[in-house]
Amino acid sequence: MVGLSHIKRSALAMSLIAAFASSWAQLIGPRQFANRVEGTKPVPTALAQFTLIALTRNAVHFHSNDTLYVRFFVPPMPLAQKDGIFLRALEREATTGYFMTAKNPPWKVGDWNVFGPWPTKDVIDILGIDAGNIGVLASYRDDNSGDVYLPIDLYEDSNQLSAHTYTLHFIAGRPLQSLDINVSNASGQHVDAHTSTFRCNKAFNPNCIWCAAGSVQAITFDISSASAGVYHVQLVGHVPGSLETISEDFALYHHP
Amino acid sequence: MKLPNASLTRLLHWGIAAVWVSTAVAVLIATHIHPPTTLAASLDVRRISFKTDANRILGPNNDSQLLVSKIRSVQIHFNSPQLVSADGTTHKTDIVEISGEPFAACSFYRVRSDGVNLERDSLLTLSVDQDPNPTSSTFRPFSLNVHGLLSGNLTSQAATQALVPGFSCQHVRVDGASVQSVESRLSPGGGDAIFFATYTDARLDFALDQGNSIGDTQIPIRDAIRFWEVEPGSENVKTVLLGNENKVSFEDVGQSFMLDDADLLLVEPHRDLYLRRFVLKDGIQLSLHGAVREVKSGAGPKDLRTHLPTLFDRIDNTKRVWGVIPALVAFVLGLFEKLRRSPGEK
Repeated sequence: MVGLSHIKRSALAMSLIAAFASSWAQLIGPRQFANRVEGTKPVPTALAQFTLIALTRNAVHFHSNDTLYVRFFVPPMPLAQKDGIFLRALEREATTGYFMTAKNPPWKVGDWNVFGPWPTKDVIDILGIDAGNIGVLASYRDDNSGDVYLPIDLYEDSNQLSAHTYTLHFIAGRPLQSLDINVSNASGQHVDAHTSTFRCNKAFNPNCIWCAAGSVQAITFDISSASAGVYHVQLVGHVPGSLETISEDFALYHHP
Repeated sequence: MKLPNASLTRLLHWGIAAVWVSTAVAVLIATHIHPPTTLAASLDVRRISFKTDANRILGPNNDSQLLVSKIRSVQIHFNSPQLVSADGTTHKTDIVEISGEPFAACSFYRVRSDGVNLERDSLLTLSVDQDPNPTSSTFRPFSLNVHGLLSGNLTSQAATQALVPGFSCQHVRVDGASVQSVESRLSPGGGDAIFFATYTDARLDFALDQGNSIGDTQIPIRDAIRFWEVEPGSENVKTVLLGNENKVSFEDVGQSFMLDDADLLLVEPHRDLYLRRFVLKDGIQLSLHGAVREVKSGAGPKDLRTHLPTLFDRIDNTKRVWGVIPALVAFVLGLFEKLRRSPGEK
């Protein structure tokens, strides 16, 4: 009896080890869920001029074992373009290689869309990713404008949606001494977006850097009073110790 | 007991055959088993990510500028009262306490750091900026990303003709009030004491004084190290190795191999693998030592081949073991010779 009990305990232990190993092994690669693919994979670390990581309006600081939802507005568009709508999440600072991609989405055009449930316990909690390190990006492909980004709300409860400003998270491909931001509407007219000044203090060091190459930055701008439509955010970065600049234009669809 | 001669001869033949067949099978198995072994590697890389349970990293270094993201708190004790400006409002003080809002960042100019404290098991990434068109010959950029909490102490250094000690922070709270930016000069003679702590996933960017370096020794490694990264907008894997002096040795068997600077390399620790030393030179020059259970390299992710010595290599390295086989054969022959004779026979 003792021997049999020992065998049972051993078998149970082996089963638990196998289950743990299996769940961990699944985490190494993508895991399939009903509404999304979520897991880890190698993430880009080398750099373009500017790489957009996230465009958010509300992004709650969630905790472990929360269930998240993502809301964004999809503008009216031809049905053929509907397939180009994309929603994904990455880490702002890539450490664990986390990613999430929404799949089989029944997106509605000309309306608000809610993606979820997105339980953090499935992958985010296991990898130990902090809420502040999740970047969510939604976009669609427009034949004229290229990628058009859709500002998202990340929340657990829709009562948490109160912010009106947008936060753009990006990686700069070069060290920058200062950054200029220009927001314009679809016809190219400048829009006052209440942006801050982004530069380091050259009085301390003539070759100071405001941001290092490869680091993630977040800038906030406010076009909440502007009418709905496509807007362009142009970033112009100035490299220290030279006249070199880098620039990128991001199109977004603003829906008040 | 005395066996018939024919039976003994048959037994003798079978015995000898069994010894050689079992030896052949043992050799075959031994060439397919890769037991953990001791690795010593000398590599030059532009980036390395690893998990560690070290509670402190980086030796003393002097920085023209240290940029810290995900700031949680900063306390500065000025050596002499300084004028602090928060969103244009100034006040003179000898101490300033700052707490970070989401995405807060601070820059410290002309400071000396004696390393950073890691508060729990951390995933670290060390990298150098391999800028193809370096614009500033003054700085040597080096960064540390930490998946985990960190804190550190800084001491301001005296001003020089071109560089003034100072600090600036963005998206922070000062005395409970939220401000877009706060900045101040530090004491011109240096000696200000600065403590900072960060949230998880912080990044430290060091602009090191020219002629100054940074490094550390004896850092335990707790998970696999992949010497590659992925290009943006694609899943193209690119190596992080630099130069042509990258060498991996297996001390137990006296084997070694050189890596092409375009190779990918994977190292999986078995136990007690250490980053024996790393130092910032043209890239990050590092030395690894300890027990590993896998070492693979190749031209691409699907071309990775193991370099781990086989059990046969280890046995082969202990050459005396081959003396055992003839000894074993001699023993069997002797046994049969003994059986061939009757108990009283000489």
